[in-house]
Amino acid sequence: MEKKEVLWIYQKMNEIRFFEEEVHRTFGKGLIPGFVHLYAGEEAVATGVMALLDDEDYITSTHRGHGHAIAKGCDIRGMMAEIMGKKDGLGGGKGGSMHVADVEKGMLGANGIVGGGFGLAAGAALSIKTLGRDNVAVCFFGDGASNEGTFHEGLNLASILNLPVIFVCENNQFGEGTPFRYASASETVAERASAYNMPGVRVDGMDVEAVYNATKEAIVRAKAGQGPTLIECDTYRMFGHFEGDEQKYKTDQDPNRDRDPIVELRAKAIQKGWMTETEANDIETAAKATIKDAVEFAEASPLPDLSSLYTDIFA
Amino acid sequence: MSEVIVMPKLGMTMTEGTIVEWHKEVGEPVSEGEPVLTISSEKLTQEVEAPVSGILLVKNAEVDEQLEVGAAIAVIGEEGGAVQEVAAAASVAVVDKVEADTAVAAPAPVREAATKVQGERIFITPLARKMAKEHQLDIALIEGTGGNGRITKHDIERALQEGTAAKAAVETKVEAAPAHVSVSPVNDETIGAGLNPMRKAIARNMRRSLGQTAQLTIHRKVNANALIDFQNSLKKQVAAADLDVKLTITVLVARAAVLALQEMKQVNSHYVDGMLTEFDEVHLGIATALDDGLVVPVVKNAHQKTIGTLAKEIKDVSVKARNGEASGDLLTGSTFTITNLGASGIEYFTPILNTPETGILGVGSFQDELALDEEGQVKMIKKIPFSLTFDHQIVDGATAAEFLNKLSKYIETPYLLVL
Amino acid sequence: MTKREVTFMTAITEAMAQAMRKDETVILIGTDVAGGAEVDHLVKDDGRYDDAFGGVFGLSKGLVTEFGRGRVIDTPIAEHGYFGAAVGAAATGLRPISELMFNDFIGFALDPILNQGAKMRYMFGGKAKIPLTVRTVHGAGAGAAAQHSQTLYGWFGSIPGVKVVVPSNPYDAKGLMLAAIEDDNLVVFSEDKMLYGMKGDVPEEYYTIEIGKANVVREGTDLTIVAIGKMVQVAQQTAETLQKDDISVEVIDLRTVAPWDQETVLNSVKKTGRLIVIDESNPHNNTATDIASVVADKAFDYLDGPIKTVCAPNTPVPFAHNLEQAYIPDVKKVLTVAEELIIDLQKKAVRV
Repeated sequence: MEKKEVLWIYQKMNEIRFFEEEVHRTFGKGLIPGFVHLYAGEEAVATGVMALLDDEDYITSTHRGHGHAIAKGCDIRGMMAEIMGKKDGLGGGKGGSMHVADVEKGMLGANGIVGGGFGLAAGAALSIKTLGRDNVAVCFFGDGASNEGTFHEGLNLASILNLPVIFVCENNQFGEGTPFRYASASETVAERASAYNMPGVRVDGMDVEAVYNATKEAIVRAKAGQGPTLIECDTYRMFGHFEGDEQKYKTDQDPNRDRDPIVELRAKAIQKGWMTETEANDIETAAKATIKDAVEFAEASPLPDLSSLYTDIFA
Repeated sequence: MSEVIVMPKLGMTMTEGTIVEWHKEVGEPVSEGEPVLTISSEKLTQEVEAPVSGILLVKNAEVDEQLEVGAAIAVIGEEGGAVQEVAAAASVAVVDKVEADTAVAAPAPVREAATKVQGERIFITPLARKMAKEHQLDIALIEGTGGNGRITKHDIERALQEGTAAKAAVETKVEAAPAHVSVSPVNDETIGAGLNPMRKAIARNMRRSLGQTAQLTIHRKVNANALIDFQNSLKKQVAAADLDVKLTITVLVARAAVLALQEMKQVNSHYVDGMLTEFDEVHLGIATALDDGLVVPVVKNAHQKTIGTLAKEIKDVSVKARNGEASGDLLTGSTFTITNLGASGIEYFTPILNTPETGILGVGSFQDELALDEEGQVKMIKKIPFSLTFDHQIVDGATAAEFLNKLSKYIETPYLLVL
Repeated sequence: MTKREVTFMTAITEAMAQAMRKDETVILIGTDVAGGAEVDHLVKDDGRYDDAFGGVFGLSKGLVTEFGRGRVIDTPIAEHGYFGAAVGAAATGLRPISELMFNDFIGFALDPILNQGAKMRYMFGGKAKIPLTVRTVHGAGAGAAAQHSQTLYGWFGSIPGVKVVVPSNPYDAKGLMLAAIEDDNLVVFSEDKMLYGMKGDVPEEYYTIEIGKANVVREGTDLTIVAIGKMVQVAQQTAETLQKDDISVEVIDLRTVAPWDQETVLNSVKKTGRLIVIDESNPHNNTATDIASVVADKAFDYLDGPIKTVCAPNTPVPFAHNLEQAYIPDVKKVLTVAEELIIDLQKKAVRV
């Protein structure tokens, strides 16, 4: 990683963390309707991948999508307004937390349907391939989604069509309240890649550099016309499945429970000379300010016009 | 407040109308419902009534002038009312179609007047339509108070309770109203305009009958001596038995007709909406004169009745009809009709079919004639004249004659009537 | 029967527990119906299990403790797989309750229902039965947005071989759930998530409510309102409002969406001549339009006005609170369409 990239990653990780902590507080105050699934704890995955993408690359996300959106460059003010159901939200307040999207940024949407992204990402990669673009599509999904039929269909299809797509599994140990070790017959998600004749790697998802390196390799393969890659990132979510989850299924022995990818990167970056203490402090302060500004913006934004209920149905 | 009178649309195809006559002059008072002028279209002539009481303020066209449908013809309002403005609006309206439509659609009074134009679609709920049919109400005369001006059950009930014009129209409408009313080439809405409801209904039925059938009447006189003897002998027996039955010639002719009809089902039929139905059963319509019109009460299943029962029922239905007690059921469903002008001294006439029936039998008054008997002696006999109108679309002359032959057989051999 | 007030949720939980006690072939299968599978600290000292979720809404809380993980089965998030398994098990001796967490996920679970469970008996010449209860959740109002708030019971209802019940209150929820489990057919039991907290009298005893029979919850003579699930409350409130104007409204709680009770609805319309159907589904090809079509056909001559349907608009469910509230049929919307029907009866203006 280059210094510039590290600083960007550290900024985005902090923005995600502060954003999610703010949403956690705001939800607790009853200001956010519906279900909210927080990304905190998994920041290394989104930022490690996205550091290598630009706006022309596509991603598909999950119900736990705030981190992907921030890392992909979505407007944070617009995200916060969207999550509060306000007019100035990215989706005009019509989508909410589970459907945050910005197609211009290559963000094809958070997704309320577990396993809904496999086919979509393959399709985006098909566009890239057919239109001769030098880009990739990345499908983020959880360990829970790896047991949906669409996982298998999507990977197989991408492989036989040799599509420039990267399947990034965020294995945070639980599909809702069910441990991965119970729900999966295979010990890892990565090992299933061999069934679809593509590389499958398992990396430390709390180490942004590991995620970065694996992604870089997968992008090279994809752009070289060598087809898809499956990357499993071993990680952990700090909050529950959704806000309000008692998290009775968590144990002290859970892998990664005591780790924090932001703390780890800060130490490593300072040690390796990628980032100074001052730079880190400044980034943290700026990220906090960004989120504070987003909250103020979102709170000031009006509710959507009632007439917008009927718009955007057809092109 | 001024009201504009617009050129009404008389029938679906009318696009313009001609002023035939003005009944009022400018400055003259008119009352609501009073004819202001007469207009005509290609086919029809109609008086246009004042929608409100007031003064005729503006005449917008002279006699023989043509105006498009919806164009303003006249303005009625208060004395010294806003003549100028309204007149201006009205005169604009006649210039051309587009402007006329604009002028008619824009001001509210014009629209109100327009709703009174005949031939406009009547909105009515299925339930209300069914009830109106059952009670023989003329829905054109009922105000709809439901959504979109729809006539609802509530409106029908009110009309029935109030016994309003709609109800009056009703009793008469049935006069010759067949159970099935087919689509007429004549525009029903415009017929009988200016008449009272009873006459209007009669007018409609007669016009409809003449408009959609090919009517032909044939005549035949039949020796009625045997029938008269038979009537007298039966009367005596009825009197002896102290039965409350009046055996009129109409009853005997009715019985003869029923028997003849059973042999000639072509004449006992309905032709409606392109469908011909010949009936086994005979439901006999008995045309009955009222003070101000006529109705046709029906003796149901006349073919199953003996002469005595037939006599009773003919009397019953006629009395009910005259007293205005006939229900809708009693006034519909006939398969053949008999009309008797014998009491009026009429010999022959040309009855009009009670559509969708294909035959109607007219009975005239007895005629005295000199005839030779078997021994060659001159003798005075009584003959009864029949006038049979039939629908030549369905029945040919030979068939009609055959029917009269069979009828004659029963009249001349009356004991067959009791077999 | 003993009377006590419990919530809609509790009524359903109790029904499932009673059915499982009564019949040991009844199992519950779905994602996180217990939760926390193979988490050591959720195994109690006596060897029984605690649950982490008991269903995402907590409706099956406690069932794994009583019946064990052999009968309360957590699955991977793999709806096609476990719904197929539920149909297969139902065809071969078990009487499963299979949970589809949100009816919106039907895309992943549809084939086992549409092409397998609903058709096996027919295709096999009557030689199979599928005593399967599909528990699922519908309805807007919770801010759950486009993919977690839809009302899709009408979709299931259009499949031959599938029965669909939609309870409107705690009493019905228990009785219909027990009837659904007892039924030898594939029954979709669709719960409106906004009703979970509703309280009502529910007997402790086991009882069933006949599937296929609607419930006339209020008698009236001027206007029939047929409502489904949560919309029954809207119908009741509309009736109260119109009563002030001396308009007498008959409210029918449809209870069963498929096959819906034609006799009760037709008889009511024949009496009142006016019909409004309230259905939170999107407005086309739904239960309301089906009812309107059948009534227009079979009671045409009794209709004293157009049949009105009050449904959600033809849009996805919006997220923003104000848009979502505008999306859901409410009393105001029903009164607005009622006005056209009853304008000829009104003594006073309708309060819209």
